[in-house]
Parts: sequence; structure tokens; C-alpha cells
Amino acid sequence: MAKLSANSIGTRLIAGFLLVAFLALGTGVFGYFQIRRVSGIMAQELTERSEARYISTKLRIEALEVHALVNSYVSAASKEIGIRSATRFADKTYILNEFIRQMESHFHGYPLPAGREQAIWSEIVPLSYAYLEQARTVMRIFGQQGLDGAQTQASLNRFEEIRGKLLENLIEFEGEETGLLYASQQRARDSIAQALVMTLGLSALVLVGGAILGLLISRGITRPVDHLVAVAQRITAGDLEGVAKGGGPCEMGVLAKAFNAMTARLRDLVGSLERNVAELLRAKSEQESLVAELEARNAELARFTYTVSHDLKSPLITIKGFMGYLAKDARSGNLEGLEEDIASISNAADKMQALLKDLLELSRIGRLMNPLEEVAFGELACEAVELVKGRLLEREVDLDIAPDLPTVFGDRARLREVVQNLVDNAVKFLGDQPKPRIEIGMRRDGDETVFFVRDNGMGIAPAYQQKVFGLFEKLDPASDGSGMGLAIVKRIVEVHGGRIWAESEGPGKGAAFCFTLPGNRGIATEERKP
Amino acid sequence: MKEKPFEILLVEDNPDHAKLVLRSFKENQLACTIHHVTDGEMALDYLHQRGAYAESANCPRPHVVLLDLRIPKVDGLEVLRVIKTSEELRRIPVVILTTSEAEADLGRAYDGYANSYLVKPVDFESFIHLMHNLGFYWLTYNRQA
Repeated sequence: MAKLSANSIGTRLIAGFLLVAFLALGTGVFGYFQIRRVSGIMAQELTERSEARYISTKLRIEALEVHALVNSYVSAASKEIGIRSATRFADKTYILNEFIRQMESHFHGYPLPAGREQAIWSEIVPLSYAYLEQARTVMRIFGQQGLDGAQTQASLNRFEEIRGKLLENLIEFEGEETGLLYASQQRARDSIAQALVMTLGLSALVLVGGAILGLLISRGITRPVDHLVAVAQRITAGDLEGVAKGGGPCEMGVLAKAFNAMTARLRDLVGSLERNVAELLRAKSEQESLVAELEARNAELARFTYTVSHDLKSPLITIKGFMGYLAKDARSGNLEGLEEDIASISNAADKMQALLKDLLELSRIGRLMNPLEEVAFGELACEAVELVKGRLLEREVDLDIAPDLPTVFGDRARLREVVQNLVDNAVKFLGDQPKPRIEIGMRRDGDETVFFVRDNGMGIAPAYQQKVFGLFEKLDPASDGSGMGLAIVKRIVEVHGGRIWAESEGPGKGAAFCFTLPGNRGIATEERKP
Repeated sequence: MKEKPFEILLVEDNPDHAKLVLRSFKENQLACTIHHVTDGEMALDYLHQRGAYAESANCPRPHVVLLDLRIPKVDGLEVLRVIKTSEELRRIPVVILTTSEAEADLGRAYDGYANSYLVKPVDFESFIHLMHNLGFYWLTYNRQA
């Protein structure tokens, strides 16, 4: 994937390796040349010293030989030996002379160390010539005057004197030279050791440099890796906003890019997953509320079926029972209580009819709704009261409708039914109240408008305040009606999106039936649209 | 047992049904007194001899209770529960006498330790027959604790 570009890990490693190798090679070369240079200088110096000593030694030997030849010539036992010595002397002096000349030219410009050595050397050359000259003089004078000549002895003495001085100087020179040679050797050893130390030091430097370079290269590689690991850990911990920076070698850049793409994909996936989950949860809660509603409906239906079967069966038993007795009485001619039995039968039949009518009514609510409209609640209350006027007059009820009732939004006929049923119910349970009074009004509870129908009749014990809205619930078995009135009222209010409840401080303290109609809010506005 | 009159507490909200029960018992000429109450609250007041029934002379302890399930104020099953959880009352046999044939009611009644569960027959002959047997059984055969 990653090309071998200038910034890649491979290039870095190779470059690092090459640099270290080059430095090591450089160090080696440096060491080699250093030692070679030092040893070269030392070798020259040593050679020169050795040469100087050699020359000095040779000069000394030649000088001694010349001296020996002079002595042998002077003290020769025979003329033959003397002639041979003289011949050899001539050769020798010639050689010595040549040697001195050579030596002189050799040492011309010779970089003699300053000081004592030079002083000695500068004496040696003239002394050598003087010695040679004196040797010739001795030979010449001896040849003219013999051993016993006056000048012979003096020249011999002079020769001896020069010889002693020359030898003394040469020995001293050789001693100096030997000392210098030893010093040179010592210096050469020191220089080589120094060069070695330098080379070793440089090698150590290269080693340390290589290690640092390696560290830097590995840091350059591991830092982006560490960064990537840290980002990966953040992402693992759930922070999907982590972004890997693409620093360092180009492979890391490629990796970071791939990593970021992966993270982005993960973010997308998680996002869509979250959206899906939210969607699912919403659908689930919707489903749950639907199920709950269905269950509530089912429970209501079950209760309904149950009560219907019970309440329809009840009058049937009555009818069949009294018919049986009626037939029996007819056979025995017993006419006593006949009318009462027939009334029971008739009542039961009426009850069944009323029950069937109410059932039909109840089943229609929610299914058959008139178009929703603006309804002035005060007007509606008056209409409802008009429908139960007969009963109100019968009980001499003091009815009061609040003057400033608002306008609501709903099914006019159904809402009228609500008020009518509630007033009817109130009249039914006025009890023995001598000054019966029913009030239709409203109050505000927070931002809710609560309508109520209040009476000063029998009241309802707290335990039964919820029960009264149940289907076929009758607190007083003697009261007429199917026990469905309040169930119907509750259903209508609920279809309008409202709530209904009973309020009473207890038996004998009157009761109020309160309900809300969300009006322009809630379902009403939605249902207006076809 | 014979010396004491047989007392029955009839808990029935439907006056016509009560009338039918009373009449059939009367025609069976069974030596018993039937005390009729019309809702659960009254039944409990009777049994506990309180409220309107504070005078114990008017409300002798019944030998058997005929209990309808759907009655106002306090439900029949609740009355049954009170009887069967009371140290004092739980030996009184409770016969459920109802129109309900629902399995749920049957189960709940027996779960509440009802002693018997009878469904009011719609048919007249069956009704008479049931009442006859009912009275005969509890008065003649059944031994009281």
C-alpha cells in the first residue's frame, strides 16, 4: 500500500543505517590516516636520528682507523710496513675526506634540534677537517724529520689533542642522538596511542550518535503509533469524535487516514443505529400505547359483555319466574297478587328495553359523532335543563346556571346529553333534601377549565366516587335507570379528550360531577378535518 | 338443631329475584327464616351486627348465606372475603347465587372459599326445583359446625 517515498518507515530506517555506517567508516578512515600520518612523521624522525648516529659512529671509526694508521706508520718496524701504512693512509684519508664531505652535504639543511646538539655538531665538522689536516701534517713532518724530529712530536701531540677532542664530541653527539632517539620513540608511541584514543573516542561518539539517531527514528515511528493507540482507546471508550492526526512517516499518514475513515464509518453506523433504535423505541412505545389502549378496550368489552349478559339475564329470570307463578296461580284459581306479579314482569321487560336502548347508545358514542362545532356552553346547559324540566319542577329544584360560561368545541348533541344526564342524575339522588339546589358552572384549575354540575343531595362516599362511572354500577338498587347514564357521560367526555370525576365530601354533603373539555386544543381540532 | 329456627341471610339487590326466592322457599314449607338485605354493605352490617342491625335480636347469626355477586356498594366477592377471613364468621356456609356463568367468577368465588356456586336458572321449573333442593339440602342434610 505505502510507496517507498522519502518519508516512509523503510526510507527512514535505511537512511539511519547508512548514516551510522558512513560515520563508522569515516571514523575508521580517520583513525587509519591519523595513525599513518603520525607513524610517517615518526619514522622520518627515527630514520634521521639513526642516520645521524650511524654517521657519527662511522666517522668515529674512520677517525680511529686513521689514527691507527698514523700510529702504525710512525712506529713501523720496517720500511715495507711503513710504505704499506702510508699507502693505506692515503686511501683512508681520501675516504675520510669524502665521507666528511658527504656528511657535510648530507647534514646541510638537516633539521637539527636546537641547543646543545647543534652546538656539538657545528664543532664536529671543522674538528674533522682539522683532524684530517693534522693527520696529513703528522705524516708529512714524520716523513721529513722522522720520529725524533722536533716538529714531529709537537704535531703528534697536536694530532692526539684534536683526536681526543673529536672523539669526545662524537661520543657526546651520539649520546645526545641516542637520547633524542629514545625521546622520539616515546613520542611516536604516545602519538599512536593518542591517535588510537581519538579513533576510539570517535567510534564511541558514532556509537552514541547512532543510538540517539535510532532512538529518534523509533520515536518518529512510535509517536504516531502511540497517538493512534490513544485515539483508538478513546474510541473504544465510546468517544467517537476522536480523530487521528497523520503526522510522522507516510505509512502512519495512510494508516491514520484509513483509521479516520473507519471511525467516520463507525460514527455513521452508530448514528444510524441510534436513529434506528430511537425509531424502534418510538414504534415500540407507540405499539405499547396501542396495545395498552387495545387491552383497555378489550377489558372494557369483556366487562361489557359480562355485565350485559348478567343484566339482560336478570330480567329474563324475573319474567320467567313470575310467569311460572302466574301460570301456577291461574291453574289453582288464586288471583291474589296477580297484578303485582304482572307489574314485576312488565317492569322487567321495560328494564330490558331500556338496557337495550342504552347499550345501543353507548355503542354509538365514538362511532357516530356529529360534526364538531363551536358551542356556547351556557346555551347548551339551558337546552339540557329544558329537557329535564319536568323532574326539576316535580322536586322544586332551585337551578342555577353560571352566567359567563365559555364557548367550547365539540359535538353539540353529545355535550347536551352530558349535561342532561348529570342534571338527571343529580335530581335522582337529591335524597330528602328540603331545599334542593343544582348548580351548573365552571372554575379554573391552573390552565384547565373545569365544568361542574353540583347538587346538595345525598352525596357519594369516597369509596364509590370512582365506581359510579362503571357500566351498570348502581349504588342504590332501588333507583331507576339502567346504571349506564354516568358510563355514557364518561364515554362522551373521553371521546372529546376530557376527563370526568366526582367530588363529594361524603354521604349527605352533596356531590359535584366535574369534567374538562380541552376545547380548541387536543383531538377536536384534528377531527374537524375530514 | 330443630329447636332453633333455621336462619338464612339472602343478599340480593334485585327485588323481583328476592321475591321469587322468598316465594319458592315459602311454598316448600321449610322451617326457616330468611333475612333479606339488598347490598354488600348491609350484608356486612348484618353479619357484624352493627349500623342498622345493632340490635342482635333482629339479626341472628345465619346458618347459611345466599350471596349474589353483583351487588351495590360492596361487591359480593368482597363480602365473601370478609366472611371467610373473619375468625368469627368463616364457618358460616356461603352459597353463591348469581346469574353469572362466567368462569372467572366461578374461580374467584371458590378461591374465596365459597361453599357452593349456583347459577340462577332462567327456566321457571328449574328455578323452583333448584330452590327446593337448595333448602332441603342445607336444612335437612347439611351438618353445621
